[in-house]
Amino acid sequence: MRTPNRVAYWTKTRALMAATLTLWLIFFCLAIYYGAPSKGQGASQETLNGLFGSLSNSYVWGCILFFAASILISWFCGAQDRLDEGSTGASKRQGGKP
Amino acid sequence: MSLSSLDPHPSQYKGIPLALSLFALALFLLTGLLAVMEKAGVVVVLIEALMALLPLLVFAMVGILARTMKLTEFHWGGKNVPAGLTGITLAACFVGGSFFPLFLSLIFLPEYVSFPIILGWVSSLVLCAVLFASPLRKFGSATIPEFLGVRLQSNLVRLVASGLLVLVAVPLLCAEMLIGGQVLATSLGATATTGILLFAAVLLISVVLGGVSAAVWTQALQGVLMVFACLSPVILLVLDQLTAPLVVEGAEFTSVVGTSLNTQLAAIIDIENTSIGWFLTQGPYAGGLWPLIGTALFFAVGMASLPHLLSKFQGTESSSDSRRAAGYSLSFLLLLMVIGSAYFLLLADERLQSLLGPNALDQGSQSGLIAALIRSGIVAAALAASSALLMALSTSISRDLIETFALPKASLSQKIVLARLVVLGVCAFVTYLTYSQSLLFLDMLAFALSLAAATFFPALILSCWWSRFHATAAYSAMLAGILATVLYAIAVKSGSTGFWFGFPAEMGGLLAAFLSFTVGISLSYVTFSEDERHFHLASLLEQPDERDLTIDIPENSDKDKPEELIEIKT
Repeated sequence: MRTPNRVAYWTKTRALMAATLTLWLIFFCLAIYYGAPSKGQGASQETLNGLFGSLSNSYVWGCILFFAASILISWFCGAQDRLDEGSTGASKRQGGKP
Repeated sequence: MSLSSLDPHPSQYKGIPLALSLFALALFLLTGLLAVMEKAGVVVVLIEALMALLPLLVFAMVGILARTMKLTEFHWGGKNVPAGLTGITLAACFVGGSFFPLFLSLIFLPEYVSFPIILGWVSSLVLCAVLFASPLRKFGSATIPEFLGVRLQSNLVRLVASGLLVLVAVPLLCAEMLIGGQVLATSLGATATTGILLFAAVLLISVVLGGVSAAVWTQALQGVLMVFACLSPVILLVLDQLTAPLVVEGAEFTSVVGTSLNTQLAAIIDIENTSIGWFLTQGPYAGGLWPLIGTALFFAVGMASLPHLLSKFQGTESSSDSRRAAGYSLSFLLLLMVIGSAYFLLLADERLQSLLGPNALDQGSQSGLIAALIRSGIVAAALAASSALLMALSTSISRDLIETFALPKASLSQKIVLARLVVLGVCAFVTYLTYSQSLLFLDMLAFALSLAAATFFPALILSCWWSRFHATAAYSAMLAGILATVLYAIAVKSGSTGFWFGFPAEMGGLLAAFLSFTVGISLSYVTFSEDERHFHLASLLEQPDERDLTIDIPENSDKDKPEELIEIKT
């Protein structure tokens, strides 16, 4: 038997999943649009005149993506944790099954 | 059917931070000692052998010390692995011996090749965290086939999934053993056969007595060694400053980086000469956006479907910890990428060159302490991935096949013995395959990712997020996925068909995944039986609480007590 609480929890969980993946898709598209290198761009590490100047574009984009993914996953984890705690607390207060 | 929750018990991983710190300190001291020996003119062969063998000795000892007679620890690692530790071990297994050289030589690769690979790696961890981590932990199963079997209440699904897991994991394990064995042989100046056998022996000792629990301990230490290897130029410079604290005036980076070490690393996994490299640089759409997107999607879906990586989420304390572990793993990978990329920049430092000799880069690339350190890192990475693969394979064979179909009433002690025998058997079989080199395993890496993407990804997504998905749809989808992948590969290789969307034969799994989704979704709307139990189990995913559906008993129970079984009707 589905209780309203459980339906709400499941709906919110799926909405959170969809929202997170949509945000990641936006990052993905941005990275492809702005960071996509052309085929001709080769390895740039022949000289080391200035550390930052020598870093390749894809490497910098890689780091940016890692940071974006970390922030997104922390956000997702935090929101899902609050959802779990909220739903568990609500079900305990009602004294029934979650 | 009986459901049970494991009682909370004290974690055996409390000592991990101290152990990791001590291991890092020991590595630092060992490096210092070997640097002094190198300066004193001790033969290079001895230095390289010590650097290669001592960490292996530690891994083997830790594997023996972490021995256990508890099935929960052997198969799940105790179900109380902390999130941070899971993150480190997941990252170490994710990288493995096949990707570790790529991390080091990432900035040397053409941007058109490295960019989609990074994009795919990151995306796969995002997919794992968002789609799979929490649902997999909620069921508390030991393997991916067990999760699918329990969720869909079908032994047939479990059997099919287990067979597919073997198909995916064996080539991956062979490739890791081949890389680890050959690099180890280079360090020891021995033949490749000796290297492979020694690698297999250490792998076996480190997991056969402790199972997943021992694998977690050793993988954490291997993660530390990987970071240490990347930082080796810094460490050598620090040691030099400690022993002779005179800063060289005017020291700066040299203008040209010696590339022989880079060439060596690239030779281990020459990504540009694989099917992935062909798709990017020579395929029908080469140079456009599609190869970038296709390769990124291929890595994202393929890596997110690998059973040995997904099983890491099943050993944490809670589903919240599983999600968080993916985040920690991402941070660890970023750390590896940054310090791995800095490796060659640091190696070019003049002070380091003067420390190592007049032609340090070229000499250091071939022999000496700096090369031995980086080879140890590669062997450690290969060992981490191999132990995860070996445990995923053997656990699936022992639990999903033998215990389910041949020995359903085996006692706990029999199960432990069986699990160890299966580990031994699988390790021997894979070592033989690697030794005989009857297949081109390195070429099969992309195909194994393809198979995983076509079979596990659709089945797992639909199982985790759609209650209507049932057993018939599940095994039909998985079989459709593998058939389509294999047929596409055969058709392309034989010239019967062209390259669909430009994909080479080994990357057809991405197309097959769409077919698998279509089959799974279509058949889910057809009712083949009145069995509603899979709906009941799907409803567990819709609750915030975790209910471990386990067939193991609580740790504090009597060993003779019959274990609680989940009855799965076929």
